[in-house]
Amino acid sequence: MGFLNSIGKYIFYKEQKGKEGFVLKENKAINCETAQNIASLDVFDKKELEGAFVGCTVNDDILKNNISSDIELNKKIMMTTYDMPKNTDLLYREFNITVKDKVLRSFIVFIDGMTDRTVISNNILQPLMLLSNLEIKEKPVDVGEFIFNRLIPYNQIKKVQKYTEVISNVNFGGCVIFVEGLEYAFMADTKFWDHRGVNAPKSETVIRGPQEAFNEQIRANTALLRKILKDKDLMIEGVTIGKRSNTPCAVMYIKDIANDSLVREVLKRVKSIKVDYIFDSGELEQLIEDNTFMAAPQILATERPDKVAMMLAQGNVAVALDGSPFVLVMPATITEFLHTTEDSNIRFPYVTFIRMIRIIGIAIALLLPGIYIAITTFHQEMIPTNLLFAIEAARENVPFPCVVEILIMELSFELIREAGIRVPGAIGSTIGIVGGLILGQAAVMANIVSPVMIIIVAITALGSFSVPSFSMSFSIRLIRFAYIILGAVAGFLGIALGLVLNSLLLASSKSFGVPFLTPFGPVTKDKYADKLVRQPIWKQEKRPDYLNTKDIKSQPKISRGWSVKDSNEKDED
Amino acid sequence: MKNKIEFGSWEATALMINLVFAQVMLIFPKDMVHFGGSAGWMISIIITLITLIYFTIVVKLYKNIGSLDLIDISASVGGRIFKVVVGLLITVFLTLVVSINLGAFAQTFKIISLDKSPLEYVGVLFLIGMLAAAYYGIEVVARINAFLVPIVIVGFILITLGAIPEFETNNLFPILGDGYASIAKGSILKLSVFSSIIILFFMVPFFKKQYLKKVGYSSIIISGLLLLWSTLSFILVFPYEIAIDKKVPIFQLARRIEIGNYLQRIESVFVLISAISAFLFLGVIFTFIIYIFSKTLDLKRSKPMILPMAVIVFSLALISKRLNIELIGSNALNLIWLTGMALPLVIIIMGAVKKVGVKDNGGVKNGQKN
Repeated sequence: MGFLNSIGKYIFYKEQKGKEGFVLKENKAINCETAQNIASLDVFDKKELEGAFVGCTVNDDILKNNISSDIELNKKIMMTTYDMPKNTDLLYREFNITVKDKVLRSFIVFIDGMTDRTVISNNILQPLMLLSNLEIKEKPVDVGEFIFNRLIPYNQIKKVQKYTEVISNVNFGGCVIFVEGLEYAFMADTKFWDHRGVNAPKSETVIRGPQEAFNEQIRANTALLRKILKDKDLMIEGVTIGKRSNTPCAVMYIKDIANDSLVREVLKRVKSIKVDYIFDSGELEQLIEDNTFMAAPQILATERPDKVAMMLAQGNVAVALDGSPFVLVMPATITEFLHTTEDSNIRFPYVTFIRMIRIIGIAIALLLPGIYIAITTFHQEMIPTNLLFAIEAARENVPFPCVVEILIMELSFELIREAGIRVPGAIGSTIGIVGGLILGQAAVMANIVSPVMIIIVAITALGSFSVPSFSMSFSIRLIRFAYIILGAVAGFLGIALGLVLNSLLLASSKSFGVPFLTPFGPVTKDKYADKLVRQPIWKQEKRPDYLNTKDIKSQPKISRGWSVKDSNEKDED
Repeated sequence: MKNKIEFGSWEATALMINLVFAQVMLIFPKDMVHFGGSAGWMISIIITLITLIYFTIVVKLYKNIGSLDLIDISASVGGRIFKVVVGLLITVFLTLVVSINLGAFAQTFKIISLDKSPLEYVGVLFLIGMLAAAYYGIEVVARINAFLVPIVIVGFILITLGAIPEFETNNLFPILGDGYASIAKGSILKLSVFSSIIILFFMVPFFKKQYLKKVGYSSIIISGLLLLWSTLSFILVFPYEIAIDKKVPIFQLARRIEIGNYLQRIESVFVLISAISAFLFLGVIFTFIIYIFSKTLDLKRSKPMILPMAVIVFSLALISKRLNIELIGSNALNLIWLTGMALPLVIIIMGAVKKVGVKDNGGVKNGQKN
């Protein structure tokens, strides 16, 4: 029979049932007018409006209302707002509290996975359900006060008056306790979730200095800063960003050092942001920076707490965002992008030397390919004769002009770099070997590029790795292409034009009111001893002039007390 | 957010130095040799001294004037019509300066670097720099001068130091060159190298007035030293007979450098530094043209003026080259250039007589804006 059926399939036509693929249709228009237009809590009690919230969200205006004393109404509001029990990680638990002879109905709401269940069980539910049955010696005057003072032995608890406060706290790991007859709720800070610990920095490694980096926990990050600074005047102002996400954000400064108008400006910019969600400080950086279209960054993003602490101590303002291991520091001028924290931890002659190397590295990363093109295309006389012969001999079989050659190589290098970052760590090094060595060697042997070009691209890459800031390195990589083009079209005249245009662009930009090229253009007072070359640490008596700090002096003229003979010592002599 | 233009004394000094120094990169040392022969270096000392005396007089006169620029002074002295006349005169003068120099720089760079490119192409590259400078405005232009000019000067000094092995002290003799008369004539005509000092009197409101002395003297002295050193090193390397025919003196100097077989013919470095200097020179003057013109006519927005003015400047630059008129270095032009020194002096004298902008019993005389 089966055999006949199989044969039959080839002979007789059998109409197939049409398989309908998924089509992303537009949402059906749900009439949420009723749900959106109501601002009164009565809607939850009215039978005729029971279906008003199906497919609709609870309007923020309703949630701005004060908490009702009606426990049933509170329950309905919470259930409707969070769409429980459809929303499975939202947990709801009803119980009774006995106060004297009265039994009060209560319930708690919290999010599973974001809260500490042990704390909720041991410090909230257990006392409320069990302690309330014990004999009470004092006469409870106010039920709410009695519960607050005697029945909840938990350290982080507060009263909240509005539903909006309840919602934002529950969303951020809080546990809300509603009690029958009370026109407020108790909010316990029970947040607890799995997170990354404090690890070593990944993108800003140093040899000499702390090996701690920020993580995704805002409180852990602020604590790291407090731990380093230990200053009572360190202010950590809390702000929330995101209409929906309410992401916590901390604006940090030292109140008797940082300029007041700078602090106000940072707070103004941060508070004024209107987005639904914000996920990382990288987004925040783009939202608060002065000039979006400039290639160079204007805000310093760092994962090192010691760097942030140093900059706060010098009068900058920092912004940390929950969920981001990078803290933003502002204002940031060109010098900040050229310095590392290690610079202050090692002796000044070494720093001066290493900074010179860094500046040469930056100049190479920015200009070397462009200058090479300019020299080989327009100014061959500059090259020593023997080297010129060697370059020409190497290029003899390469069919492309220099500029095409270098563009191929630069783009290939950027490709290798991007691929190296994106592939999993285990094969990341393979990409480097395959891309860098094998491809480079093969390209030379295939006469696509000359060996000199490989050297130029390799040195340029080394130069770009010497830039301490990730963002700055990016901007240099981008601008380099402009110099290549300018070098190809007009030689050194083109390079000079590029330098002037680049300088104009950088000189015109500001970071929170401070010109980006400060202290070189405009030139500031020369008392600040950490510009390009770092002076000995005992000479660094002043904070940067351009930050207009409240306290310009960071240490007295004689910071090494031992270097001056004191009077007692003289007497002893 | 302040809209006021403000910069420090160093920015102003660097800007002023480059306005003189750019001439060194073009033709100045050759002109010195042309006028004074082997004594050409003396002319640079004399013109520096004359300029210092001129500036001392101006500073004395400025004591009776507030922190005003030439346009404000002329407005206070002779009213709106006088202001417009003076403003337009200065605009025309500076337009002439920038267009002739644009042509000269384009021609020079075509000769020394881009010999296969058309003149217009080289001119357009300079024009882009000028447009960008004018777009960003005086404050930004002054800021970039603060750090680019020292780089340029260090580059120039290194080039001339590299030429020291080629120095021939015999070239300095006869010590008085073509004689007193030639030196005197050259000193008067080449005083024009300081004609861009007119720009200084437009910067007074941007830096504090007490810095006028500091900016003026330091820029004149440093520029004078650069003029002297450039002329001296040129004369020391090239004997008079050869020097008189050299087109771009410092470039020719750079060509003579040869240190071992690895550092030879570094004239390309000259191309780089002189190009930066030229961009800054043209950018500064063009930015000030836009500023002065807008201020003269009380225009609220100056940016729309940039492109039309650039077209005029570029056309003028090309016309002089097309007509094959050798303007740079001509005696007539040297005299016209002196307007840059004479006109400010006249206006400042008038302002000092009327004591414009000076606080008078707690108030401000003659309508100086606070």
